[in-house]
Amino acid sequence: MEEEQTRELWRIERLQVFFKTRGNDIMAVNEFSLSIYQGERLCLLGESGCGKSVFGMALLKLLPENAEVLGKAYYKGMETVGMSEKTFARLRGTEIAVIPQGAGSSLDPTMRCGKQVEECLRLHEKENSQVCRQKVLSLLKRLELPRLPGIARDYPFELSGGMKQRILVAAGIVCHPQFLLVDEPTKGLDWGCRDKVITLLKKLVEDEETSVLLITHDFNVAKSLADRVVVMYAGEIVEYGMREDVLERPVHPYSKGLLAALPQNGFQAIEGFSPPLDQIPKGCRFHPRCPHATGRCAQEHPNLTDLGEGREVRCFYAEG
Amino acid sequence: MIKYIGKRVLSAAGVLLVVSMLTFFVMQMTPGDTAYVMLTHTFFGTGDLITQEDLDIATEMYDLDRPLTVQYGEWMLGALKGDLGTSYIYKKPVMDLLKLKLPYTCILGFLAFFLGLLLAVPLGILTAVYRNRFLDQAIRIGSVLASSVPGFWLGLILIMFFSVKLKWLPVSGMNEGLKSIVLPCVTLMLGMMPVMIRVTRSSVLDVMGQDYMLFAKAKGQSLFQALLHHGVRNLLPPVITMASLQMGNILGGSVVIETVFMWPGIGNLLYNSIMAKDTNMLQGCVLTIALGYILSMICADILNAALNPKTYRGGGRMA
Ligand SMILES: Nc1ncnc2c1ncn2[C@@H]1O[C@H](COP(=O)(O)OP(=O)(O)OP(=O)(O)O)[C@@H](O)[C@H]1O
Ligand SMILES: [Mg+2]
Repeated sequence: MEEEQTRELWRIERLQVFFKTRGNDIMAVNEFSLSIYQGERLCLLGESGCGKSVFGMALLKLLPENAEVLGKAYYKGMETVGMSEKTFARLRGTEIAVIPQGAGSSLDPTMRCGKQVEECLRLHEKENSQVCRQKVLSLLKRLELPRLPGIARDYPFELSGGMKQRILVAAGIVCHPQFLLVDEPTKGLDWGCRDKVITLLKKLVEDEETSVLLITHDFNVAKSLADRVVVMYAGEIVEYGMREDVLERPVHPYSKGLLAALPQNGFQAIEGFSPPLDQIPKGCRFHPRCPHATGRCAQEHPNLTDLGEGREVRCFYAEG
Repeated sequence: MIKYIGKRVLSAAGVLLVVSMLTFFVMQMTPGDTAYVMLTHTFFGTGDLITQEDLDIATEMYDLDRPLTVQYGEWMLGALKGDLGTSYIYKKPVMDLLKLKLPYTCILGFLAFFLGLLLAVPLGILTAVYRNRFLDQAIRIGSVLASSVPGFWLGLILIMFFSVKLKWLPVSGMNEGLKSIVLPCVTLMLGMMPVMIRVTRSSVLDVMGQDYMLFAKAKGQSLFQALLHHGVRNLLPPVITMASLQMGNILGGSVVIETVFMWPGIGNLLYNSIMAKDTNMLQGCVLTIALGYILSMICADILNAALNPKTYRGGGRMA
């Protein structure tokens, strides 16, 4: 991975996120160490509730007040975990952008859609409104939104789910960010819409050399978009590597299980449920559900094992 | 829109009709012969000297011997034509008296209302943004104190302190211009501000928890920018609705406040007309206040509708 061209955009070292609650503290993200390179598409895969969005929001420093973040995250060499809100806010939108989860609730119901996209431009690029509006319209056109230019003057409640999702995409990329966090861009969309959004994202990323961190629990989305894949379970990385390796020849029993649960592979879902994050099992977090678990798995917590070629797995019995 | 206005006018008329009936018949049930009470109030301190002849003349003059329903019906007919009858004690058309006194109530009420809003809404926003910090706690304690004492008592305390003890402000009346409006205005403001601060605070907190605020921050806006661009329009509706109720409370509460401070407005007039069993005058005052209530709620509805794109983009209905 130490090629000349691949510059490291993010270096994340032992990032941890705790939520302080009335009961136990919840450890939503545990010891995340990861690099994200310029222009790559990284996919974060995992079951619902395993901490994917929390990790993304931690990078954006947008977690609620009861969250505590430990560890280090360097963006272009700048440490961001300890960075002041004011300094970091200057990166948001222009350098680091997000396409949030939940298209319905992430748009302001009382503001016209075009304006919500335009906002980001107006804030960061001090151009007059005419220029901004033109830029927004041409972007919406590229996203193949119907009824242009009238749709820019519509309110979110007048749009369909897929249209709202595309408005969010537009608002995320309008300032040409270097790093884009995309959280579940296809949730609740039908197949047609889903393909459209994926193709669009793909095209945009190729055109603009943006690094993308895509969060999803959909294998097919990961397959069609990712360069590298990170599999997450109960707040931890369990496996990462190149897309072909992880998705076609998974090593960790959890990734294998995910693959076997796909419709085309026979719907064999992993037994049991992922644990609530305030009751993490001792030892390997996956051992209660793991078909190959041994006594050691219940006692000891495995570290990530390097399998070479940028591939790591958190399992005692990873045989490469 | 026309249908909406028509509906509102009809329901307002219905409310006014019921209010006038209640006022009239409840007034008749209060103890004391109308003619006698009227005369003792007109010629102060002459209670013993009133003869049967005087009572007869008064009864004759205002048709007090006719059945109540007929009296009410006649008043109603007049009212429909814009004539609210004659005041028993002031011997002048009720309409003229209302026109004379209403401006004073309006000056005091609007001043207190708008100053109160001007203070309460920003304070509500600040307490939400800096929740659980010193300002928030201080205002919470202050609000509990201010809203747990009745307005007239607060008024009396203020009079005792600022007027009697410190002698900074006049005790009552309105002969000293701006100075004389300070205490009644402050009393009214203290009555409405705790509620308005609380409503604003909870509305801001609600909006701050919304995903679109998070997205606004993700676009690079500061919390205050996000509140300005996305917060205001979303947090105002409950604030406006509550403000309209408070406007009504100020009008209704003017009876007490204007009496305590001898402020020559509708409330004071209303109090005097109850004491003198001046039914026509009372009707006029009560209906004016009821109309104020109705108008302030209609204003709130219209403002809220204007803030909600669904109303004018055809996606929803008004009210
Ligand atoms: N503000 C919070 N306070 C306490 N716990 C929280 C908070 N936000 C999230 N969590 C916990 O963190 C865990 C991870 O949540 P997260 O939103 O990251 O899930 P996810 O992997 O994105 O799932 P999905 O695919 O459903 O979006 C959840 O178990 C949730 O209970
Ligand atoms: Mg999520």
